Amino acid sequence: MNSVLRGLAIYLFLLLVFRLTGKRSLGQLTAFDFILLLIISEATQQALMGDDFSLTAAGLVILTLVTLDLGMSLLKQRFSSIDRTIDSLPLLIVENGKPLKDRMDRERVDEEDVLNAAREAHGIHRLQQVKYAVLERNGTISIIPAQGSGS
Amino acid sequence: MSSGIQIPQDMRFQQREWLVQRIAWIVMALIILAALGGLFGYGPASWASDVDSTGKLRIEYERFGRVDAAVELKVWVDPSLFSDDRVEVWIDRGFIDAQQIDSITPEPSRAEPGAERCVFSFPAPRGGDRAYIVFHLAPQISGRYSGRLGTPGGPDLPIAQFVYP
Repeated sequence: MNSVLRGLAIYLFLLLVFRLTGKRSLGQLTAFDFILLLIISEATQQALMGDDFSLTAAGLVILTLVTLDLGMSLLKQRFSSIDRTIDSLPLLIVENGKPLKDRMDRERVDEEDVLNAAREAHGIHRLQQVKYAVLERNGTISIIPAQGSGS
Repeated sequence: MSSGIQIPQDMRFQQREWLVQRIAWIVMALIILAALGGLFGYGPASWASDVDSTGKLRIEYERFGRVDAAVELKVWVDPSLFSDDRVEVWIDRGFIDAQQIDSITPEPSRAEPGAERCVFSFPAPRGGDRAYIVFHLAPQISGRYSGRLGTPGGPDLPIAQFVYP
């Protein structure tokens, strides 16, 4: 029983924390973000297992986490309100070359981030060549180039 | 606006999300500050001490503990409470049963497991010194535990601890 409850508590806690820290938190993983992730997993592992390092406990924890994730994905598919609560919505941040400042500020994205994504994906070097930039639900920025700007 | 691109947008939802996130950041900061202050164990808010009215029995303990995390319970006993050459301290079972006793410094020479209370006896220090005993404990079950600690026939003090999971 303990293993299942531990799995449930950790799952919900991590879901809550990462959801509340915003889209950008782990979307674009820097080297340091990666190190942070490793540390977080290390801290989590202790709480997940407690002092029970048996195969059974490990199996139960894994089963709990995977089943919760499965259940969550089924719920998200069935109910769009749960979907947007858990995964948020994509957000338009550049429209016809004009940055939507207010939205970008709130999501802690700046023009440089958009230009970075534009350069990487399309070799675009000016914001005017961007028709749309969308901050996706996973924190990446996707770029739709303006017509005739080359791709 | 932005009818040209087909993405699900809901600015009202988005505004609410931003608001909830801002509130959550404040809450997270408050939780960290509370943890620094000792609300989740080991810190100024957690350190508790109590002396009986005669000043002969004094305890220090942690108000907040966490399951399996070490906490200390310190007891000072005045020589006038010694019986012969022994110091005796009892603790309510309601409190001590929730704890795993990792060690007691010094080692008790005897422990009597009564139904209501546990009595620990130690050799009394010579030369009129106060006796100083440290219980190294580790709470085993989350919840709130309270009880009393005292010396047989002498003063006693309330002791309460909240244990986080």
